[in-house]
Amino acid sequence: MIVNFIPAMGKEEMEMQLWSYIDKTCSDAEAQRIAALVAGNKQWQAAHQQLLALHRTLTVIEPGQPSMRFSKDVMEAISVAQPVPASKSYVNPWVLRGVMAVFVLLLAVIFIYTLPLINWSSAARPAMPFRFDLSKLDIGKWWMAIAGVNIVLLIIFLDAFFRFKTKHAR
Amino acid sequence: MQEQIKDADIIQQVLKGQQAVFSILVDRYGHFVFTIALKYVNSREEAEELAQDTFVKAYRFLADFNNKSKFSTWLYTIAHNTCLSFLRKKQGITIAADEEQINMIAERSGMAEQASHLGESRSQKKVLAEAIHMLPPADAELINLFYMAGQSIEEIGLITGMDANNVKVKLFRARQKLRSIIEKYYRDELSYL
Repeated sequence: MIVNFIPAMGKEEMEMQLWSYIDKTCSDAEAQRIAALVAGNKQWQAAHQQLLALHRTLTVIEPGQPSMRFSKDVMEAISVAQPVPASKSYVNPWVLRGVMAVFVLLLAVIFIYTLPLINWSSAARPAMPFRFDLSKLDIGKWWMAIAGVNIVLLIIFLDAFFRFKTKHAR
Repeated sequence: MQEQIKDADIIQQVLKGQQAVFSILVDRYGHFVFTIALKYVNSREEAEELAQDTFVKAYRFLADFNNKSKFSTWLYTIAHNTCLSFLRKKQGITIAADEEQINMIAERSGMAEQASHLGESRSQKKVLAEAIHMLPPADAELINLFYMAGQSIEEIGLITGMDANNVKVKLFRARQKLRSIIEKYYRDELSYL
């Protein structure tokens, strides 16, 4: 009976819900609601039948068949392929953690530097409660610090890379 | 007998150096990978090459498979990316997705002409396969992954790099397009739809 009072719904929205119901991708409550609609509303019932027919047909589609030689060709190609060691064996997690720590540290420094500059008592300019005084920031010094850290990381990375290359060349 | 060996066990054996065991995975998933590739290229030869590339990549990077997803999902992800890379290199195209392009694709693949000359009785499976082939590749891939390869919405999301809701909507649109194609070209043979 409730289904007679459902608000008017576009065909696309109805089909979207029906597909969710057919695919079982909706919640239990949603499935119950749609099942009631299908049982009690002719429009929903007809659409459900139509979509269900397509769904059942699609479930029996068969994959294409490659040639008889396919498996043999693949195995021949594999016989000359070199397996690559797991990336975790040559990507040092400490290097990644180091890079992450540098970024976190950088953000923390910027935050700490900015915090005292905020004028908490200023009500005149609520949209911009603080002024970032760029003249106080020594860009050259910062740049050198970041470049220095990057150079160290690059050296660590190159070291790890050449160690890996040497190990696998043996 | 082969079907009873779990993918994870096969992978372990391959990683221990038993290369020949990999053929079980090739036999198990070869036709699915081939079908995915066939949606992106028109020739069987190219599709086989792409499927072969997929398996070679899977073999080479097998040590990186972490068992968090199904092997098939991981393999289809490689297949999907291999096909897209191939198309980008070959044509520099973006995948057709507009409804209006269905006719163009159908004409290009000669399916529209075939469809108008359907006289002899053919199996419904074959007719349906033809109809799916007329879809834009991305749509055909979604339908194949969902129905033929038995991948869930979430797994398709992993394969194609889309979120689950996006997959749901795109699958919905793909089925709508498929119905339009059936209505237009295969009304007599699939009249019950």
